[in-house]
Amino acid sequence: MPIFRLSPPFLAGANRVTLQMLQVLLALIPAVIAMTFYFGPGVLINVTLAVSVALITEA
Amino acid sequence: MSAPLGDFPGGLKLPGHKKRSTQGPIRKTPISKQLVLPLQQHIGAAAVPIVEVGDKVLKGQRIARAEGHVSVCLHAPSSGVITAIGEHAIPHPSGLSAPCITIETDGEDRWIDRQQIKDFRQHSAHELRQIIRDAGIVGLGGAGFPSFIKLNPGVHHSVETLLINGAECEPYISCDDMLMRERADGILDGVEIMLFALRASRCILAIEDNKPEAIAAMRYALSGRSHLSQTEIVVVPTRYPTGGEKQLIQVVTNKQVPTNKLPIDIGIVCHNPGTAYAVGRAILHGEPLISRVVTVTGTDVPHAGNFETLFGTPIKDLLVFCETRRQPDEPFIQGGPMMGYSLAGDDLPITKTANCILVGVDDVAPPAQPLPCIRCGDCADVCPASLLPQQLYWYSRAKDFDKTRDYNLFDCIECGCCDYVCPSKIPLVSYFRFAKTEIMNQERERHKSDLARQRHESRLERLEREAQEKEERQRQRKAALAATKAAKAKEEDSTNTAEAADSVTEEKA
Repeated sequence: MPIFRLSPPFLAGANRVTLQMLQVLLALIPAVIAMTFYFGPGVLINVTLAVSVALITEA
Repeated sequence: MSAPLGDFPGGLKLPGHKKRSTQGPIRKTPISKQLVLPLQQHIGAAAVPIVEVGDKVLKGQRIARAEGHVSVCLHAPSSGVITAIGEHAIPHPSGLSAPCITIETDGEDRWIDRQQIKDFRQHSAHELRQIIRDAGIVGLGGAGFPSFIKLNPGVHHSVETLLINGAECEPYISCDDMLMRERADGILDGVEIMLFALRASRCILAIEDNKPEAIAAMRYALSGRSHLSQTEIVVVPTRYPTGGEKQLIQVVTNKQVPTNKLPIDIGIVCHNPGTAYAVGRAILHGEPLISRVVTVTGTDVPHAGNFETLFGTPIKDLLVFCETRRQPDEPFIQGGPMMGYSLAGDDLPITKTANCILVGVDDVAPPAQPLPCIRCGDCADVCPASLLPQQLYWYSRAKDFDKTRDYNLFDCIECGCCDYVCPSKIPLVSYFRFAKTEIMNQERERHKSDLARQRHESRLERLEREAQEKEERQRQRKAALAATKAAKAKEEDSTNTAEAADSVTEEKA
């Protein structure tokens, strides 16, 4: 027995926030590669630091 | 085809799911034991009953008259006895009840005398509109606006183009498609009458390209009518919401309907093929609007199809007739999955605006807790009216209604495209509907308070005027009194002098 939302539209699109954010990450990959190429592996440390701080504070 | 097609911004390509209900011909739903007819099945004032409980009625007999200008009559869909006039549950998202007339059918299905008009050109456009109104015809696309009003060009407008909207862009619905396939000639009968009533020079029949059978049937019917040379069939690309009136006009004529204006302001009037068919039946056959084609489809309907159903037929009977796998009290959708509304309850009747009953949707949106807006802008990309739903959402949520108007909230056609693509699953259309009704309420309140103030001011003015008049009258009365007093005094004086004079003469004598 399907349970509807209270209001239309009752059809669901495939779009999700996670999907959108994955797209953002995908778009960042070339930028990270280019930065590592020009500024050395230190960039990767920066990125790792930023990502871990973000993950810790988000949760 | 003369001009190249136009386009509207945004829109969605949705899976059609129409094949499910177009496998067989239109079938007639059997007459139900009981028919429940809401007095208001149209936009405008509810009709007023002209029958009493216990009256015998024939099929097609008028049972309620139109009240006011924006209203139409209501007819008995089958012969029988009126058993009740009163509140009954109606198919409305609120789940409320409304005044209805209930008919117990006798199964004889005996028609009333039908006044057929063989040559409608012998009648004036006004007479034809009156017949259309008396036949209870409203727009069968879903809104239910009285059709006779939309067949009146009025004195301020001239209509160049009659646009028959056979786009039917919402998924699942196929009642117009099947009507065009099977009754193309009947639709063209109505088109001729509509062209005559509107004094329009040309007619465009717009059909989406996912309905090749309907296009072929309409083309074939049109080829047999040489006098309809100004009528053409335009095939439009399948995209949601091409069937929106303003969107279709943009696609077909490359013109935009301005904000706060109607299509008639740019010389276009738009009707549904089902309405055209009903007009043809009403004029040429004398049959009022008592039934319509309803699509019954969905994942829980194994024998989906289109059904010619009398108004007032309980939706339950229709679903039983289609052998629906539906649990009692399972909610279903009336209308399409994008703009319809969910209903629950078993004894709701089919009304003039019920184009589709949908039981079970393939990609159903589960009730979800919306996430915060990440301002991705996907909603603005798909908006067919070029609005900024993310801004409108922000201001509607903050109840900043002036701002929502600045962002043209009232151009929103509530198609649901923004909702569909929203990654955060925010019910945007619900927010917009809320804002619209709030604004309309405020407007009504303001109008009311304006009226009250005017009334109060004119009362004060009247009181002051009355006081002045009273004073004036008193002054006049006083003056009059003084005058009479003075006159009396004078009289006395003059008699005195006369007496004196008399005595003088007497003395002289």
